[in-house]
Amino acid sequence: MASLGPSIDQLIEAFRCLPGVGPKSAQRMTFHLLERNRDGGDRLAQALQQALNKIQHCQRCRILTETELCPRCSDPSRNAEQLCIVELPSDVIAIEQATHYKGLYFVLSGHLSPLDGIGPEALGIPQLIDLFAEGKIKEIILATNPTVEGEATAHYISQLAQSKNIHTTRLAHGIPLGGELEYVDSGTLSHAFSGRESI
Amino acid sequence: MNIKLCPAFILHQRPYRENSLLLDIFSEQFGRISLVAKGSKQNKRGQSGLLQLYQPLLLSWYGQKELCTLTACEADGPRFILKAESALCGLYLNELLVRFLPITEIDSSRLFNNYKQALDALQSANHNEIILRLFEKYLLNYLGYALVLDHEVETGQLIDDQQRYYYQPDSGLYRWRQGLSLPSISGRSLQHLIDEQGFDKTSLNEIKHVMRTVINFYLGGKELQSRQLFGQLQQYSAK
Repeated sequence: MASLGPSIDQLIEAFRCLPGVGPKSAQRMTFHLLERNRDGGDRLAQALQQALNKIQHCQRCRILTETELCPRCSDPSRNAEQLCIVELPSDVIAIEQATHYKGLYFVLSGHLSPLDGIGPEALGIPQLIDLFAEGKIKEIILATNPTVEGEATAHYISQLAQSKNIHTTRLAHGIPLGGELEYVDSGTLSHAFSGRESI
Repeated sequence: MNIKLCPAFILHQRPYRENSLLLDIFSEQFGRISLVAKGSKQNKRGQSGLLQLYQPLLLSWYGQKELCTLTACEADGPRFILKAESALCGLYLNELLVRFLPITEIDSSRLFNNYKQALDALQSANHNEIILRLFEKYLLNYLGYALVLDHEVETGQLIDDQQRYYYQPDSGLYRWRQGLSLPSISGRSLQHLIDEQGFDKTSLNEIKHVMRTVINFYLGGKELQSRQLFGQLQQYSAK
């Protein structure tokens, strides 16, 4: 590609750090900002700078937040005896929107995956052990994804919790609302069948 | 190349773009292959529920180069349910395959069956260590690095139950001498590994260290992540 000067090249290169953005898209974004929307570019630059300066991980649950403790962890009305352990920050938002859960969270930021080099330390297990040791938590709810790696992670954490005598529960597996049995995959169906409830 | 419904397992998957997946698969007739499964994360037919580790699959794909495109997938029997420690052992097997198998088209039906049997055995979760050691042996055989265990390489003498030996990767079995850094193994343990039966705690431990030396040698010094993971997990469980 013909160069238009170091600043433009640098900006194009910088846009490429975004997921799914290749050289062509980066070039399109750069030209759009410089030619058509300099105000937008200014706002983007400021918002990005501000976010990078202010936002950090919550010291307790590891979700992204502007303060030392996130709004949920610092809310005294929430039940500190329950801890819901999830893989991603987006899972916290999904659970908050869908349920009436009023306990606290812990975000692992992934699952155990040797091939990706993700071990207990990357998942904040030492921090989780410290939380268990505080003795306030009575129940942990394992809400890792129902994949093989998610299950392995859940199993590992449940063993840690049981050694501290903390009651451990796991999200149920089942058929989605409005689903049709015929189209549900066999794994889900067999889980749902073995975990049936009396009504 | 257009493949229709070939038996395969997924070794590793990672997200790709918005809702696609990159799969590392191990297929019966074509060895290890990388596939992209487009739109699989939000598939209405529940495909992502099927694209899981340890699930016997029938996969169809097309493509010429290193990365092919998945076109269809079906279950080829129920999933092997590996729980607790077995799940981690399964991840170890997968890492071995990903690290050792090149992405080329080769018929791998024998190793494929070994893998399937290993998963089946891990499912019932007894003697996990034996399952792992035997799979390591089969894998080395398959790769052409088969261990010569029944005689000394220098003298050609058959092994003796009472003697101690060491295994020099790429060369063979030697009589053990004081002051060597390589792990030693008794003739008795070697016989267990040859017969694939009769294992006990001592022989398993000796075989483990020999296998580890050989595998590390062929990996060129890069440590296996799942082995480190085992270590870290035990370390935290002990706290």
